[in-house]
Amino acid sequence: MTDERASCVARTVIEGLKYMPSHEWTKVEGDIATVGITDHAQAELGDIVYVELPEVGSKVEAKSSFGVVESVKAASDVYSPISGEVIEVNENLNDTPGMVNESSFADGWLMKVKMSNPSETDSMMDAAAYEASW
Amino acid sequence: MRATHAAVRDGAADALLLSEHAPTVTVGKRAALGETHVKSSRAALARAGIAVRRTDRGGDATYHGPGQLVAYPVVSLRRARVGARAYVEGLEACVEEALRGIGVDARGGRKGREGVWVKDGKIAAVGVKISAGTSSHGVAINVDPDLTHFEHIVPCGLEGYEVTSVVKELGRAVAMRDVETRVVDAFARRFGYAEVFWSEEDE
Repeated sequence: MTDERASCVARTVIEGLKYMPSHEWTKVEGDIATVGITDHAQAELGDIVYVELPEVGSKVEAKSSFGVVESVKAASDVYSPISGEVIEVNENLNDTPGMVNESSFADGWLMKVKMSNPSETDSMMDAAAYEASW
Repeated sequence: MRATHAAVRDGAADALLLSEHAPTVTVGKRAALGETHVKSSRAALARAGIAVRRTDRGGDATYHGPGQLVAYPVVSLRRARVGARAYVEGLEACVEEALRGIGVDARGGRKGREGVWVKDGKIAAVGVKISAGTSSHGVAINVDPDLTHFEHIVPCGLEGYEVTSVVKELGRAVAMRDVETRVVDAFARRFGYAEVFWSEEDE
């Protein structure tokens, strides 16, 4: 990056996570996958005002919609990178949906899934491939 | 809209659906939680001949009715490589351009005040849903609706603002078809469609 200012507006991509073309990320620890939307996605949506998440205990399927992230501009479906059972959702987002804007890769996570088929993450993009995709 | 959305998702050409609705108050996902921005009871709305429906678009309460041009672009944003924000801002700019073309000084893209405005009067509402990289819902432009019907809601949850229409601003009659043509032209230009085919269909 030659221009100092350019680095200020560049959007973050985190190494070690796996990415979907629809701008979700997942972090795998054992057979648990944490899922969220990327910094690029939150920046595209603008100020997020409402997040609709699945029920704990419900099943999600890879590449199927599991919730909705709504900004002042648009409501957008979000897609699960993996199949499995939802074991936890980020309840804090009920009161502070803007956390997705502030910390999309950490405190703004959406759900945790016990994976039924961990090999599904093999086809996801790494940080470099994701960054090159938009 | 659902069939068109499925077709576009599967590779069909993008579409721009134009219509006028029967009197209806629609509430977006957020508003459905409490319906706080619908001021009248369901009974009062029924007496006024206004239906209430929940929708899956973004945004709060909105009124639709005769005399209002509803324009729902079904666009593969993934194919066009357009992000959500750029798309919604582009849509607002189209409405702004179409209305300015007939002499209404409309402005969109103001932070905290979604939609398109003439001073402190809201002239068009914007509410977009994106699913599988494809847009649905869109804009509702007040050409000449019964403005008293808006008294049943707080449009888009914004207190203290008015609602206006093209006819109110211009003080003369305006053909719906004229506004439609201008919106379609602005949309085709901004989003780069080389050819536009018109077709008439009943819902």
